Amino acid sequence: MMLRRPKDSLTGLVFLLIATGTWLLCRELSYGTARNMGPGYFPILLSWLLTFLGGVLIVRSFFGSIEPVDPMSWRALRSIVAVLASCVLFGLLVRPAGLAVAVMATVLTGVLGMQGYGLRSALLTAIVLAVGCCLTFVALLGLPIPVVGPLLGM
Amino acid sequence: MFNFIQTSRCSSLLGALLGAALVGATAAPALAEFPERPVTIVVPFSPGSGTDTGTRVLSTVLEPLLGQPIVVDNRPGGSGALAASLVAQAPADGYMLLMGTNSTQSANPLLIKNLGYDPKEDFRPIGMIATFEMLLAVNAGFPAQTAEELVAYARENPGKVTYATGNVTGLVAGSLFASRLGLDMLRVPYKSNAEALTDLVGGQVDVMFPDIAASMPYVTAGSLRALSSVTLGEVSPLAPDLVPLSQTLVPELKLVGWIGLFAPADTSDAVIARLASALEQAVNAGEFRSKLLAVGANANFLPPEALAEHIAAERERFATIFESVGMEPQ
Amino acid sequence: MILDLFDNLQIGFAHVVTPINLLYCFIGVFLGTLIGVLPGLGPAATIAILLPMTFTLDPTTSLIMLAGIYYGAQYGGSTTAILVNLPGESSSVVTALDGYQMARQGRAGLALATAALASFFAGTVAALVIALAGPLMAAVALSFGAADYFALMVLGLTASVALAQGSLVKALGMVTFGLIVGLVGVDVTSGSSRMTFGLPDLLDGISIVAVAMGLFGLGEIMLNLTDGEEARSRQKEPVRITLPNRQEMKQISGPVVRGTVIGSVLGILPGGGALLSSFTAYAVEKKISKEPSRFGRGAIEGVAAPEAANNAGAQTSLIPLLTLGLPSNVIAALMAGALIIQGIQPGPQIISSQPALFWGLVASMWIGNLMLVLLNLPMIGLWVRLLRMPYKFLFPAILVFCSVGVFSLQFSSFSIWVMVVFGALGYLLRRLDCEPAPFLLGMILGPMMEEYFRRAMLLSRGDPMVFLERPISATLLVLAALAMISISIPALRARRDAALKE
Repeated sequence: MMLRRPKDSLTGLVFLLIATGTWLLCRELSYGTARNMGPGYFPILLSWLLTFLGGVLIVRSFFGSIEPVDPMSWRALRSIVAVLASCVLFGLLVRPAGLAVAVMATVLTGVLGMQGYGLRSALLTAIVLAVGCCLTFVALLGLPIPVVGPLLGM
Repeated sequence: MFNFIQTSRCSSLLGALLGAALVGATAAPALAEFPERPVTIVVPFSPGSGTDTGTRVLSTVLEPLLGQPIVVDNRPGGSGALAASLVAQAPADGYMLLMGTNSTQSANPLLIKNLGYDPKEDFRPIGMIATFEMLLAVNAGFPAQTAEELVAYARENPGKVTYATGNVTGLVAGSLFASRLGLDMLRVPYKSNAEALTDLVGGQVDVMFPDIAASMPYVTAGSLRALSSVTLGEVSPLAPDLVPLSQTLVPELKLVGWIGLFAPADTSDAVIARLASALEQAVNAGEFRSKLLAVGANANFLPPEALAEHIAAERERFATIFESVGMEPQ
Repeated sequence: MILDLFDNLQIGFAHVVTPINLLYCFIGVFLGTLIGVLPGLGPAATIAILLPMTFTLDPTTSLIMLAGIYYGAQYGGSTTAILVNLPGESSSVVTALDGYQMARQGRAGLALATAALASFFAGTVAALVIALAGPLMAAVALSFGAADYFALMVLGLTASVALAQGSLVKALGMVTFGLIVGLVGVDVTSGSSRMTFGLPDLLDGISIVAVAMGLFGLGEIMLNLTDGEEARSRQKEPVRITLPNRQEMKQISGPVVRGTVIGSVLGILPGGGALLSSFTAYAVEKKISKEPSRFGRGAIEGVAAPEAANNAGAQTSLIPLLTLGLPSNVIAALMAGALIIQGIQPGPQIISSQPALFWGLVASMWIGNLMLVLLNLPMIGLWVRLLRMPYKFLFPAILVFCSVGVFSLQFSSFSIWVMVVFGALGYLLRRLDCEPAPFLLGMILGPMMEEYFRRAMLLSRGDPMVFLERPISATLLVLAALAMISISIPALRARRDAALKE
């Protein structure tokens, strides 16, 4: 017997992990009765269902046609980290430093996810987007986001 | 779910576009002392809610009295816990205030474990502003014509009568009503009073204690029947024909939803006094009273000490009731 | 009856066609389109921001503007869904499935035009439905009990499986995962908090919009950047900016009509009816199509049907508010708030006591939809040109818009963490061929299903037969069972064939 569909078994594992997590988080909630169900009834039921589906996937991965795997490259990982980090930076900066700085930081981090992005075009994009966002969101729509935050001494 | 700040003055382009219709803050004689800049009132519930409309009506009356614009900032979430924690941690200078309710000040500490604020230690009351009275209403198809008939019917049919609850006040009213009269009624919980009212009108549930303003139109239209009212004791001006339950069947049932203004605990006496006197003046103005009645609330000023006592008594009572229905802090 | 209708509509049009009302109607649909196009900013937040500004307007005028924002946003949300796979509203998740594929095949203009025309048709019909049958339909909606709602949700869940193209088991797993995530927060019945990790920000649950931004918005960017930009960002075919031709019109007419009917009917049900309508319309089209395999690969019907359903549902969801005073969703609740402040208590007598308000709003819906088409058809050229922008400039812009939009949900960075976490999780699951659309539907349905199920069991005193005894719920459950069987038989057969081949 050999593992023919590694993606399926990996998905199965992820499902099992989520199901276990749900079970752990909800096991102390009261289960209740069918008439008066407690807060734990539904989540526990769902965690069992997900366990079953994960199990099916793992068993199934040993059968069927062989599926190719495409391994993750370092380059791809770099793109993903850049995209996620750019959003985290926005969240960290928008209150203390204001919208303008947060947008520029997001753009400058985000572009690291693409190969061969010149510094000049990165800066240009950052500035254009920062100005555009401040105009659209703050000036036009009136969202209560500070353009310049307290961190910059204002 | 969402959140925003809105001044009565529009700072945006869009505001300028629409602002022609909007009245700016009236210039009042500038005071040397507090307040020197706009005051923010944080509302713990979403716009359109009773708390929100009450606050907005108040801000129009309070602005000229304080001589500063009032910013209404809605921060719904966690039954008001998010907004209350925000104000509890704000600088105690009187520029950020909380529109507290019986949820944020009395019920939450009994229902939520990691609340993030202590209603008693973190806040100083400034004053109660308005109360929301309730009806005892049944679906028009329900056999009872009076509150006494409802009680008799529920006694004959134990466990058969259902009552809907959509918020803390309705829950307390319902369980107090059932327990004091020894009735076995089935509680059906809802996320909001609006959803509960929908099912009451549709006849999915029999009984409910809804806000007078929201439910009166259905009584007039004949889809609901009002049997009595729940107030702090006297007859409600919004339902003048109904004798409150506290005068008939359940003397203890003196209960209302309320809103009141709170400041962070370390706010100075001078600022509290200034705010409280402006508030009292605003609440007792005839203009405020009529505007509030139009949105279904009853203007009702309580000074800081009286409000603190009211909350203490209310919490004690809530605690007993939550215990009796098996609700614990989570 | 028909004559009455014309009389009433005349009152309505006479009331609406004043310069001031037309101006606010235009402002409403314009703003609605704008916030719909910008991801994350929803109609609820915008209406709430604008609410105080309407206090000084005439009640009809303010309601016309608020309603314009609402359906304008529904429409605008599909624009970004089609162009960059970014559903700004949970209802445009479905439009993104085929609309984005059409855009990648160089048919973005056609997809946008189809969406506009389908919405306009549906909007026109829905306005007529409200005028003709509003009170009657509201009465039907009221007779829906908890058991019936639960059955409807089950039917919706089976529809969710139709959203997936790949493995049935994976789709079911994603739905289940979505149901679990949807349960995070305070439990209505007991007041206990579930899976909140002690974070107060999670008490009200996880924001669906933040999750959608992470799964679709960030997910798409990450896929594009890792799969080699060239293949994805370059349009092979020349972009066509024309209206659908005769043959395409014929192709979409059936789906549009069916979508409109589904949307109009589901829209009136308080609590999620309108949300379900686009999912259901898509599932129906895929089911009755001769080539279901085209769905998810740029089928024009997959854009037309959900767009029609979505717009019709958005409008008929106002019926309970307008005829009974009972708001069926957040937007309707905000509108009720606007009326209350104007001194009008919404209630069952609102049509007879405020005829100008009711008929004026109905008339304005049609005018607003016309404005939407007139506003958006010329814009298609502009949108399509935006797609020709090199991806290196497009993706930072999407990143920034996602961040600002999600931040503005609560004006707290917490929503951004949610987006990032689900962006990462979504990318991982997508690499494993798990699709995000069923997950989102599960997340929307999860809390509602549980609530209705528990309430139904409570009201029936624990008797599960209630689901089969009530005619509405029994019918819906039978439909769901039939749908499930018809979905799983081909899948099982395919598996068996594959197994036999070995």
